Amino acid sequence: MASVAVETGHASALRARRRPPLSVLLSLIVVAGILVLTIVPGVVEPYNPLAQNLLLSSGGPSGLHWLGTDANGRDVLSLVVAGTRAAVVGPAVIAVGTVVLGATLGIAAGLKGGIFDAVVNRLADLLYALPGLLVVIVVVGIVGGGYWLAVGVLLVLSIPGEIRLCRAASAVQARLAYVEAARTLGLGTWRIMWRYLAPNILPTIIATLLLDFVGALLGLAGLAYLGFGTLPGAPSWGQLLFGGESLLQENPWMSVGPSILIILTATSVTLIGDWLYDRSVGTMGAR
Amino acid sequence: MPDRNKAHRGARRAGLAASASVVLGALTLPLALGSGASASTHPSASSGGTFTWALDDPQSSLDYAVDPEIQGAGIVMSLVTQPLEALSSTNQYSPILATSEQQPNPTTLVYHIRSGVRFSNGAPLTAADVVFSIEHAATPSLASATQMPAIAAVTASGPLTVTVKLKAPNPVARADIAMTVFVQDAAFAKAHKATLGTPSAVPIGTGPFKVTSDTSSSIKLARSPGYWGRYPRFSSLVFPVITDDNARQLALRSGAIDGSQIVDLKNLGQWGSIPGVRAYLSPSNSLDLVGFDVAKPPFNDVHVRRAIAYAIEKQGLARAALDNNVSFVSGGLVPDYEVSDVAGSLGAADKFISTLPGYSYNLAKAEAQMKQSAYPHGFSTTVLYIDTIQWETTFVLALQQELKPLGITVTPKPVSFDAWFGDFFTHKLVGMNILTLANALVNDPSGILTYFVGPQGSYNFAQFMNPAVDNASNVVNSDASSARRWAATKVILSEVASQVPYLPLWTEPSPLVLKGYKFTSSNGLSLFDMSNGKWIYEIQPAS
Amino acid sequence: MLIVVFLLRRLVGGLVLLLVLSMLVFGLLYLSPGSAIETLMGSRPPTPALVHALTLEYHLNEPVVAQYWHWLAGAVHLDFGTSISVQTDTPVSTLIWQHLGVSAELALYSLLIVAVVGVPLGMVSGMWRGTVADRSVSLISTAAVSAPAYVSSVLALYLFGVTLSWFPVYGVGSGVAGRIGHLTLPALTLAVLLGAIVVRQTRAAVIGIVHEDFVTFARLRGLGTGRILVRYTLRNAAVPVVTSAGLLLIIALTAGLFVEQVFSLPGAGTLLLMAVTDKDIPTVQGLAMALGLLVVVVNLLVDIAVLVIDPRSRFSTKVR
Repeated sequence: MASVAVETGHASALRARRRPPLSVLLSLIVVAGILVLTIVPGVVEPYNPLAQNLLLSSGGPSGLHWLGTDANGRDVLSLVVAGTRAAVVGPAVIAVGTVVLGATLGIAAGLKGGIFDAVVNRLADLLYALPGLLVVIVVVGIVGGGYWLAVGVLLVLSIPGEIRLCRAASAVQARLAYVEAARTLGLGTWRIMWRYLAPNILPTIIATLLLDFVGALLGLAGLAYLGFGTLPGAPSWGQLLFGGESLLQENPWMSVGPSILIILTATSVTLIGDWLYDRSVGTMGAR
Repeated sequence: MPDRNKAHRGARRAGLAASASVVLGALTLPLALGSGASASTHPSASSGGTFTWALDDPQSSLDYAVDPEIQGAGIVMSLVTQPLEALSSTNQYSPILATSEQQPNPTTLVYHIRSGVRFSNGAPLTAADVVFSIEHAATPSLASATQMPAIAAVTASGPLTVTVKLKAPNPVARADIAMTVFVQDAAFAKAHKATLGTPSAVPIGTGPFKVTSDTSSSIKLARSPGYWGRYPRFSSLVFPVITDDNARQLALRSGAIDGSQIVDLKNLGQWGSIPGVRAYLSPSNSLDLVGFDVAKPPFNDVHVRRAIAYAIEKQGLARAALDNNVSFVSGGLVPDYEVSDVAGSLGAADKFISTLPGYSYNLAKAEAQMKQSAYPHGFSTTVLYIDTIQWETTFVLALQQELKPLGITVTPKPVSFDAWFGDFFTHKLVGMNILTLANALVNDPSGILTYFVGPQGSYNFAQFMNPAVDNASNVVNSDASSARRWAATKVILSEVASQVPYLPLWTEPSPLVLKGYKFTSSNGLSLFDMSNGKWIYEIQPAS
Repeated sequence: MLIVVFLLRRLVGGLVLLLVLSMLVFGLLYLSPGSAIETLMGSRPPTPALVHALTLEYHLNEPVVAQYWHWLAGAVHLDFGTSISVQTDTPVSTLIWQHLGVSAELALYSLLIVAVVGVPLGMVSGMWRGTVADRSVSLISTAAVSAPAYVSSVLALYLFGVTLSWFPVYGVGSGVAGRIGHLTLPALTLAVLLGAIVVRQTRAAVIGIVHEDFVTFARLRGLGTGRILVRYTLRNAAVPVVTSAGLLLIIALTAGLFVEQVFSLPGAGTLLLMAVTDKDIPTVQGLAMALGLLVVVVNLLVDIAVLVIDPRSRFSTKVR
């Protein structure tokens, strides 16, 4: 088949990828940091993020307030730290929910085939084409719901992509000998799904979990920037960005702080996801 | 935000409130905000060019009766469909389409219409057009009706004479009509009843300009040939709609617009730092206040209302929310100059107002009042705020913190501008509310004070009424005697001050900016001149 | 024959999507807080005449199913009623046409930049996988995908517009040259995001192809890299790239909304935000249907394009 030279080059490239490259290591550190901010923000916050001091309204950076203060005189650095939770928790729920529901439906569809498959597939095809964030803007904007409504709608709209992916992956696996063998042994669909099939497409699932997370993170922060799906005054990166835009010339740090965190988090998680995906493709190829 | 992007739509509704008119004498202060340097090199600064003024919201209609906002349809359409008279900032009337006005008795106004005036479509201006326009503005289904006096009949009593019969004497009827009635071609309006005000049927007027294009992103005006008066220096005007304060700032910086109003007073400094920009801070009596629904618990308890009044730290709030660009109002409900005419003098008004409780910030008193109330341990309440109005957002968050010591848990809830004012005008608001820019421009208690009380009060969102106040309100609105009206005014002010259905905060000035141009008067431009067509004559190249 | 059946199925699928979407979109009227009549009145004074007119216009005195039917009948003729608050009494379809143009120009401008810069970068990156050039391109494209449009637009506007004054900071300009000048910075901002996705897609496609036998064979035959790129790789890599056009459209619509917002461009995204904020339900409904139609049409065109580019897919349509 292919020439030897090409083959070895390819293989060595794969081997080199087993060890996480520097960018992935750095990403892991960033993600660990974000986790700390999410779980114990109080450790890092210099002030109570909700404490107002009207006399310090819209102050620039100073020794006491490194990133300045917002219109209500709240410490921006503390708000940025406190905003991590809103930035991360919803997307995590969306990612996990998407994967659990999407993978279940997708794998079941791929495995069972027939009408169930057809229905799920059509539904996924229909929803897949919609621009999710615009739908959320319309729904949340019209209904006037908050954060969790936005999370819910984003979750529902990101399931179809997962269904398609898992369906395709499981359809491939379903034709493999081990699934046939399990069927002949009389194992039920659910058993086959979770016991045999899921582990085999797990790497793909984890990689998409992370990408779903990034999509939701950027989406929710964007919604907050537009003023949707966020509680008034609640610390959130998107809201800080919006508030900082009008103060850009006086205190750019109010915008720069959350921007850096959004980009760092998204890039890091994407890099880790890419790396996992490449690895999984590699191992699958080797199998 | 939902559209927070539309930054502060509130301000544009300067005309929101009420009745007509003006007050403050020499109203405007020039504010040397910018580097006083003027950009004389502006390309369009020459005579006959195009002048560009940014609006901060798309105009939902170009029929002023449908959307009577001074800084919206007012600033544009007053150049197309003219008023009968112009009211100056010093309370002087000057003729426009009416050459004179007489009041033979307290319920009759007679207007003599200018002869030889033609609409931009060539039709001559007749008394019938004026009759139609007055009736149109008073049509109950149109928003302008709330700014009009109660009219019994309007008749063409001669080819160029129009007689308005009022249902009751009304001290501000002439001002209301001058402010609110924009004269348009009746035949055209009747022929396009269903679409009047939309781009397909822009009202036809007698002014120096006519509308050549109307989209939701910009309105364009060009000289109307055969105008009866003197043309302004510009041959065409463009009103781009820029909803976002930041975007408007960028547009001014880049020369895409020549002028605009500033929506968020908090950002005044940033506007001023743009090279070549002149900022004008015109005092206005656009009132911001807090009101409580006194008909329902927990705000039916006067001690709760007083406790909140003592707990609100106005100074700190004004600084945080509006960068201190306000004039505080204390005692009663309205600024002193709005009652100075009936009081006889500003001094007399001040003397009385100083005897009323002012509720300056005092947490101990607030807590004491709370203890006397039916809710010594506090309660929870939802406060609506218009999230496109930046100061309300800052304010409601601060309120949340300031009421916490009283055990009052405030849940802020964002609503759209239209939704809030929809509820406001239909008296559907409940609980505690923030009202922004209630604009009483008339130097008379019937201009706005009586709007807030009694069963007839169209702004009485506190549902505040009792026999004494209701009676006083009637006296203020229709009695001919100044003494009796002042006595009645004092009753209303005292009741409001002691019962606290409303807590007045401050008045906001009206900030305007020009780049490459300046206002003829160093005093800038009164908000009032913006909707009588005079504003365009006040702008000249800065050189 | 199979192709016709396949396309018909896609077409029917698209129509079903539009139908489902229309039900949801119609439902917005009832999802909105307050009664339908309150919603439709907006901030206009609730006079009996207006209530009567709106009741008749929207058939509110009839069952909901009938209301939907009337609405759908109008929607099919692109009649979505008139705007409530964005521009009162203006037909929604007029508003949409006014705003769609700017969005389309922005999108086309961005796609042009992407096609000229993004595709070649992705191919180079894929051909020389693992090299410094590839890694830099990959890392930059990852970062670019992760930088949301609302951050990159604000950054671009204030850095290149306000601080450096390289680009106009406001408006859409007049005349062709003016329009191009004003749209350049927004289009570049959008192109960075779209380009990053295209680079990643192209790279992945090329990687999948460079190890195919025919490419190896071509190399053995001593064909130059450039020739291989154009002759073999481009055509084969085009399929996954074209397939991703649906995804690109979604991202262009979403990111475009933020770009329009930050650069104050009067496009469809700006209109949507205005309408949603003002609770202008007819405008939201009309715009949502218009965008839904756009999505369906583009996906259909993608299907056709794939059939044209890749003859093999014509025999495998059944599998899908």
